[in-house]
Amino acid sequence: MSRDRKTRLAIVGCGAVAERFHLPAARGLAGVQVCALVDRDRARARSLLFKFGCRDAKICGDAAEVPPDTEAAIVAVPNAHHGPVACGLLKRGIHVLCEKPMATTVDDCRAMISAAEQGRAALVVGHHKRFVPSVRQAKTWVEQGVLGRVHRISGSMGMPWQSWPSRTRFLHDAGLAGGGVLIDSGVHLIDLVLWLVGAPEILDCRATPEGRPVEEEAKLEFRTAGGVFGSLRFSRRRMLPNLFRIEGERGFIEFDSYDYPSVKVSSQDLAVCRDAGSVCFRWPHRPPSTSPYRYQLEHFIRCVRGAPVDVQNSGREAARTIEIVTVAYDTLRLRSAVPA
Amino acid sequence: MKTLVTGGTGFIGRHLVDRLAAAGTSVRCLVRPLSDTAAFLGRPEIELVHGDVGDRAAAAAALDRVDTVYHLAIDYSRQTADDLLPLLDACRERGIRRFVYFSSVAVAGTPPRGGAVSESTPCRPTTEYGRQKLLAEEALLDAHAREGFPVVIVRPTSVYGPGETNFWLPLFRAVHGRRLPARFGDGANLLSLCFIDNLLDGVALAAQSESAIGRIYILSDARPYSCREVIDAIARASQVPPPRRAIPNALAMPVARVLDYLWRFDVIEPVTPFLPGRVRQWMAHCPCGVDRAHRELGYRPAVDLAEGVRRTVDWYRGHGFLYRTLPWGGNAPDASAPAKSLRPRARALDFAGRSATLGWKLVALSWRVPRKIVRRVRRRLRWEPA
Repeated sequence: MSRDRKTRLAIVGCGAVAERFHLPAARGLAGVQVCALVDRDRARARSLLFKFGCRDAKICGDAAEVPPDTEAAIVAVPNAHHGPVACGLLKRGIHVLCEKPMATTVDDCRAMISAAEQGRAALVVGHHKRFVPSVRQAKTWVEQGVLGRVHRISGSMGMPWQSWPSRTRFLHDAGLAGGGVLIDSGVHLIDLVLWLVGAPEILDCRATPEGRPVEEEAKLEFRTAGGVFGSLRFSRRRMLPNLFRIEGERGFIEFDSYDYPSVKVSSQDLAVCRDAGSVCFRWPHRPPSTSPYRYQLEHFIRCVRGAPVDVQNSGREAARTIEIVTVAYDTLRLRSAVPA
Repeated sequence: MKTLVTGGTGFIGRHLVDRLAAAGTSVRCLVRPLSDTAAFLGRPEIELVHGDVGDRAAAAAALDRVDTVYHLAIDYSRQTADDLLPLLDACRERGIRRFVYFSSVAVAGTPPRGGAVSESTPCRPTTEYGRQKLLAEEALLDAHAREGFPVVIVRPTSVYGPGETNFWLPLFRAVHGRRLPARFGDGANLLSLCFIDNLLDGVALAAQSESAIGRIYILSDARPYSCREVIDAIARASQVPPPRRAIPNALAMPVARVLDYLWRFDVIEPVTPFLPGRVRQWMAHCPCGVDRAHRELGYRPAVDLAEGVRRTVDWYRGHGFLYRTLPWGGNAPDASAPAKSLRPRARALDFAGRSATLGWKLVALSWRVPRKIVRRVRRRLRWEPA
């Protein structure tokens, strides 16, 4: 990324994800200048300003106050505000990288897409797992047909709730979060399925506690048009295996759904696997935890600058993820409405 | 009529379901709502019913048009066998043909000195798991004594085979990866293992035999194996030399405890077979006899240790549980290139890096240990006031 021209970036929402991932990623990129930190709690925004040394950044209490010369913004506010905040920025022609989930309703997603068209701005969504090196390698192998026909996918993401240092606890509020673990963690793996093997059709969805608006554990069973069956499990209560496994006719690929230093593969088509059966490719140095966010931000900045890039996580694709999540929630509502 | 399997998503359950389905039996699995059912998706011959075994309505719904029940599920969070009762009541009401209960030799506890465990050994379970299984056995045998409930109880020994990823996998991994520098103890103690196919052969016989009703059968391989035999068999199947050194019996547990502490303080990577709980299990002398199953059911275990371990290692290799680790070069590996090992220089660098890391960890340990102790004391004072 060139050093001579800096993209002016606003961080809208100064919560845990901004502090832990977006701001370190932005600080690590020479071509980015953080020009505004937006949070209703100005003191919080100011504390991050000092922590990350963004001396020239303006402190704002509302997204409407970001400086007019802002070129791009990262929206990391509570889920239910993604739509309204992003729409306001996009209509002003500010390119938006919106945290996942894109929005809490399909209508909000559509409004965001049309606002992006109206403002001629780029809208990408923070499905950062697409930028994880091991996941990208898995995608390459699947596309190369190393596994033959993919027939099964299983994935899980789960760890106790306390491990995420949320400041506002908005994830406990169904009105702000849009649901529970399904819309929070679920969108990551649903997006991966969508990206790797195509759109899944929900066969079944289960969640606990039943009938509550914020589910703590959930399971999705799906089938894709290509005949791939799969099951995804999510939990905020307990540790799950946290693996994503793609099985095909000629082998499998497996990677960690949280931590990314390795990818395991077994395929008759790969010479390295012929002797050992399965090979685990391990990155010699553990990548810093911000690196997928950094790759994601680099990608976003390239989109902003109009470089000819294949947009990896466009709003349109992310909207499909929300459509699938909505179907899953409808399935849950239907089950709780109809007694067994 | 259908066959109901509870606990069908576990290691033994999956094999049982596969075998029943392969034999043309119509199988229904009662699974918890959030169990991993990926293996059953897209298989119309297997019907999934969601619910908890301890839930009366779910148990009754699952028993619709069922004549045989294989009960493998266990709720580790409960301290009683209460979760069995709703299923048992529902089975009584429906009048099923056979109820096969998967217990464990853990109900017998430690065998008498020098002796072997048999079905008539007095039960003195030493673990919560064994106590829970014993309570369930008693409830079922009571139902049989009072009303002739058609129960057969099987007590598998330590089951291994393709798909087992809990108890035996760490030992296979350690031997396969040559991370087991020494055996624990002299390796002469006898362990009773049961290859999964042998177990299912025995279960099939128990489910069919009319004389088996109300009886208990230990199911195991044809003979117990010494711990040394097991490790050697794994090494042979993995094509690696077995560990030659042995830690004397008296030192094995203290060494395991020291290693455990070093692991807890991040000084070393965990070597799971050397965790104290595992070492205790592998050093236990626990031979079990299968005479009753042999005599009454005609049970003949077909797969011996060498063959069972070979099949297990092949499965672990094929499914990514035993794997070769290679450093990532930054580019996709060339599909036509042969596997390369690390060059000598890279190896030396790797060794230097590891040594430096270990040195740093030892330095860090000098301040981490007191901090941990202080934290533990504080926590205890806060939570357990005098």
